[in-house]
Amino acid sequence: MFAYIIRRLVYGIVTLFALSLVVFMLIQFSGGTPLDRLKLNPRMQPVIAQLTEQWGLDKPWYEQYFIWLKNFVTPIDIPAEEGLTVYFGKLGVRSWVAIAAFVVAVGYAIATFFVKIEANWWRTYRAFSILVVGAIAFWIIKSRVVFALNWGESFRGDGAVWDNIFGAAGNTFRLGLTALAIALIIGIPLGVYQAIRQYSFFDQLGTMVSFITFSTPIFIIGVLLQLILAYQLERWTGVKVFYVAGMTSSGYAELGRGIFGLPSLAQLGDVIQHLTLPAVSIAAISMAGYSRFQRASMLEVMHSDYLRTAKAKGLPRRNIIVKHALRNAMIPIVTLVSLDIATMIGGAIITESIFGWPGVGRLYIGAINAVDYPTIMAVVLAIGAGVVVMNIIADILYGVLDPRVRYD
Amino acid sequence: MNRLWRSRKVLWLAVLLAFAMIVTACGDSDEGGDETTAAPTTEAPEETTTAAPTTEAPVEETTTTTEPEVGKQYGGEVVVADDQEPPTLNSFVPGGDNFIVSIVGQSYWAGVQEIDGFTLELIPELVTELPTVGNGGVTVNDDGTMTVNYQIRDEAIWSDGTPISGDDFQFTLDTILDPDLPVDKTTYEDIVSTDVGAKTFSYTLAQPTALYELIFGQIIPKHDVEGSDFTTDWNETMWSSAGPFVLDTWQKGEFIRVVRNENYWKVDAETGQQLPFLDSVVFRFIPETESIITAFRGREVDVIQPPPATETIEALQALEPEGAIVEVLSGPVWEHLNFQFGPKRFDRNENSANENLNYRKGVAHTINKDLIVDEILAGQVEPLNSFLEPVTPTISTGAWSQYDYNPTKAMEYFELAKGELGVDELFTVFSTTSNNDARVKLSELFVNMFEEVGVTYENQLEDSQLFFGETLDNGIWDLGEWAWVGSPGFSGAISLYDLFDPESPPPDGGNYYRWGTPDSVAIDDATARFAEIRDELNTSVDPDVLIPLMQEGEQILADQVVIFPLYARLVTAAVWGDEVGGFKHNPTQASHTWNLEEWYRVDL
Amino acid sequence: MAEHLLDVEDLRTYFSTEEGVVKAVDGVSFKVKAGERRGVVGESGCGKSVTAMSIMRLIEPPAGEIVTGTIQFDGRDLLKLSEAEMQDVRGGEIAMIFQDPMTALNPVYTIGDQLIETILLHQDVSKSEARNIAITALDDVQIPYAKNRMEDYPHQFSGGMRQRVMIAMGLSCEPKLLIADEPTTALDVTTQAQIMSLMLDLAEERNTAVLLITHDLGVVAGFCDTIQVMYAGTIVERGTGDEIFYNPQHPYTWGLLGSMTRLDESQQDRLNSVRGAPPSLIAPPRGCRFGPRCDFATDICREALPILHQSQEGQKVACHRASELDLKSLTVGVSS
Repeated sequence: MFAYIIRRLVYGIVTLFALSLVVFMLIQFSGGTPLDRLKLNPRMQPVIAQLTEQWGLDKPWYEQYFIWLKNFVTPIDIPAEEGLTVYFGKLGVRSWVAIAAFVVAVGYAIATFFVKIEANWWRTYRAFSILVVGAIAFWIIKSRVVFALNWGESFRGDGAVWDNIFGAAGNTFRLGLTALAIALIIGIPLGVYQAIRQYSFFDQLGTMVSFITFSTPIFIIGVLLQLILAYQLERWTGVKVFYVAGMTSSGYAELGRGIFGLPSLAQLGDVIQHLTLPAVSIAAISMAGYSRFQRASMLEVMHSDYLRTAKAKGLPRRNIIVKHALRNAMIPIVTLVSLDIATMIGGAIITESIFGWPGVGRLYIGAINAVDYPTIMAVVLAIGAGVVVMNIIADILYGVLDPRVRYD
Repeated sequence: MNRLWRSRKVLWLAVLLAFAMIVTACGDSDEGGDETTAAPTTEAPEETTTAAPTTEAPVEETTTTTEPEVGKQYGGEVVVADDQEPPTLNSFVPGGDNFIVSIVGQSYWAGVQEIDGFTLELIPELVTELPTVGNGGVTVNDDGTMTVNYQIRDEAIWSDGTPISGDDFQFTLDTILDPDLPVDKTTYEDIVSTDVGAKTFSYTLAQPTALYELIFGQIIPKHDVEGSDFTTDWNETMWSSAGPFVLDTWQKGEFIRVVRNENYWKVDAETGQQLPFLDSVVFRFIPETESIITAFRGREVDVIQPPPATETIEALQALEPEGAIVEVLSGPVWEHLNFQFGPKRFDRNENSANENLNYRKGVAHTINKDLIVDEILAGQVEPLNSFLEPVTPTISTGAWSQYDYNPTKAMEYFELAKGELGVDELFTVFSTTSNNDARVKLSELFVNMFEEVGVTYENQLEDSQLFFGETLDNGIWDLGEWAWVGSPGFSGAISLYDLFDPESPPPDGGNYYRWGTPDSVAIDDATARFAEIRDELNTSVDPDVLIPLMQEGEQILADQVVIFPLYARLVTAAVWGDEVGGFKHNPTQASHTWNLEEWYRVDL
Repeated sequence: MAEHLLDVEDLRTYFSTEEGVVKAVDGVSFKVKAGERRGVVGESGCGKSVTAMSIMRLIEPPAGEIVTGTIQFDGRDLLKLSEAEMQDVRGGEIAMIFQDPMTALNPVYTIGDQLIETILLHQDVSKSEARNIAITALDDVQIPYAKNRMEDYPHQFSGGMRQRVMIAMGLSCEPKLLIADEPTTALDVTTQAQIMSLMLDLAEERNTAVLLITHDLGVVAGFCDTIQVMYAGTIVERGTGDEIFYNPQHPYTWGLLGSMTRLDESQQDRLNSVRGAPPSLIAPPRGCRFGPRCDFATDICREALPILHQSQEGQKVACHRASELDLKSLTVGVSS
């Protein structure tokens, strides 16, 4: 499996290179430069000339591409001592826990590739540890002091692209993971329930609601949520329950920190008040999709022979559904969810705009409007990398869930 | 171990825990994030200990004495929403030219002048009065140079207590003139010498010009910024404030919060109260206009400046009974029709008749501006008859009012044009950006107008990137339409005349029309005279000389129908009047936050 | 009462479909003694499997429903048990083996998991004891290296091996009745024989009654004490193996026998089959359900439904003309 992952990663990197080239050419040939917005002010001509040279916009496109590429893969040079001091000086308890967990997990993950235990639980554990390592690695990279690549400066003037993307990615993940959790927690059981009560009133109702939700543009869902749950709800009750926009209140910092640098309850409440509506509007559509998919997949399993066997063995119905049916019915869902997570990295562009959520999607839209190559390229490649990685993770999970799958 | 792992509950718990950890970690401001919350740099406190004693006293005095019942209430927070976020807080680096930078900047910038929201005229800010030839602040020297003198207000100090001095002006000049800094250096680069005093600053320009009016609009604190890396250190933080607020937090992508500058030097003109009234102002960034409106409705935000779409204005006006105040004003951005005189117009329309004056006059009579204003601006304002109107209405003579909407007259002109050109039919191709709803609507209105006068008409709209990139630079259009941004004062008006300077075609100049340029079909006495006027405008400072010249120049452009002003874009602002007092909308680049220091909470 | 382990009385299981009610099992009664090996024979769709599923109470409403009848098992009416009580019966007292071993095992759990799960469900033992029982069970069905193969997944076994696993799973809880629904149909012929003999040996050792459902008379021939022939939801003939094979009383049984491939038959006759197709179970033909396909049908056969009665020869038969016909002596009617 290790060799398989490596091979997939290599393919992935090649794909990303190709992607970067294509996207770069697309931006180049679609017309417009990042300096166009200055053009209508005749006094800015010298500025435009200066920036054109500084950003190398006068060079041929392939030269620009190679300059960009060279920078893109270069780590930012942080003097070891300085980097460490800067980093450890600012560490909170949470980061220490993260680092400790990271070290342990990496150690374990490495060890597991050399230790061969032919036991069932070992497979599960190994795959799980890889996931944990991945999550923690993201966490560490996100802190961007220990490790950063030189993704260049934004042409819009809003600083280092690396910082912008990871700042935005964190927000996007907060939104996306919550939405995903909501979609999974509601969508999957809904689909399961619909399948085991096929053609019941509830099933029909669920089907109808799913189709309506699925076919409603997310823009309308978002705006409706804002109007009903943020605006009207407050009018009726006189209490501010949900906010229309933003991720936190301006007084968030004053709400106090909890123990170990974790957010306090008041802060958590504030986050929930802001997070709920955008998360629900994203979740709504995925939820409808998941429940339909889960229903179909579950129905197929429900009619399978091994489920009849399970019943004939005298297993309680609950056990049959949860242990035997669900486990099998979940296998196809894994691909769906994994790719959803990958696109989630790209941010829910529309939702983020509607709810003023400072995520990657919003960054991307801004970058496109300003023809901000470094940011556009970085976002596209981050999404691409997300798809590659999530595909690999999906394959690993596939293997964990379905022992028939072999990596070779 | 085996058993433990096999227990599903443990596994689920672990997954759940991992998820919670990831989610809470996501997007949480890092431990390193405090750097953006500390407004003044770390040196600031040290400096206050040396320089503060004199400056801190008056602050305490005023806050304790002027609190009584007569004055406006202190305290509270106002939330200002915008669809953009500043890329940087430093207006001198790329990205600093974004309008939102100025909107936020009003909380901490100060300079020689600002634009009064009531009169739209320039008023002094850091200086006691704006220098003019009349008050002796500006003198034209015998050697043909011009000297400008600033008298800095005695009370003007930075937020860390340091007095604002001539050194800061000199530092600002030096910073701008740094060849590595990609910033507009116009007029600054003509300064030949300076004279620096504690509370005075004067400089000499190589030749008389009215352009001095608009420079030194923002002064950089030398003691704060000197020695720093100017282009990188000031993007996420503000230097010492000369305005009413200092930076508290910048939550990237969400909001910027500024809090009271305890050392603000200004007092309220009416009540004599120490300014500002508000404890804090939050600038919240919400990209979607629809959401901004909803947030405003729900009073989640107090002040907004939405794009002036008719539906938006109507939706906001519906809130007026509940206490909202909606102000719809004409802004400095003016839309105009224009003719391309360069050779590339044939790429767009091989039958282009732009060189024919009668054709151009015909077009001018074809356009129904009243209808356009009704359809696009919901009839909120009058159409334009002059390009000076939007920002310097006092000078304007309405040179284009000679062209009324008159299809009959238009057809007469077109007949003349056909005769002169020896053609049977006239063709017009209209180009503008397809991304702008108002322009698309305009192009739709034109179809009928041109049909009425028997001109074969076609719309060829383009994506703004293509239009402002390729098309404009190369002059590939027949009849074009876009907007210029006007600036106040003489200097602002004069810069408009540069746009028709035969000597400055693109890419270095703004004469995209190629009127009078060597490759143009329109080189005649009019272009020659206009070039003279333009040169003279740039070397004069006396209003008695400037005003007649401007009027003559405008008349030439109107008579020759080089361009055809249509309307000034609206600038809308709305505020909850029952919550926020002291608000006065300002449609110019000073923005609606121009008098932030005078805002106060009505509901306290 | 205790004389019979299983006593099915007037069992009727109907399915509602869009076309109408399918009377899949329509008034079936039979008894099985402890340790008895009973073969149930008939064409596809004659109600054999539905009978078995009804005994297991695996008919899922609302599609299918046991309309009437009693199923006395070991002194209890299974149809009156609660679902929880029934779960104890399933797998514990009555085990079932299905036709296709390739799909009957859950692909995502190991063989060991699935065996242990069953054992833990029905026996009060610890996990490690259950594991040992499971290994023994695999040993008993002659799976080599049983202990090592516990961690293997179903896809790592061949079809025959999987059916052995199914048998091990079925017998691991020492049930009183083993229902084997076409257990060897999907297997190749040599494996069939091994599996059959293994299953029946094990059943004999444990004194487990077997209800062997098959469409193949050849399979039941050597293994079953008694055989019942089903046709269109009813039992048409029941008797010992000898009675059925050597003295069929019902024309349908006779036809089935004729369609058997016989290794001992020297002359290579054309393989015979019963002419026509089984009748619709939604609207069965009037009178004898086999009537329309029967070469010996008379008016009475078209009028009245024959009931299962004791024939002179010993077995029970549901045919109006059973006493008149001497099927034994007739050459098998050739029809194509």
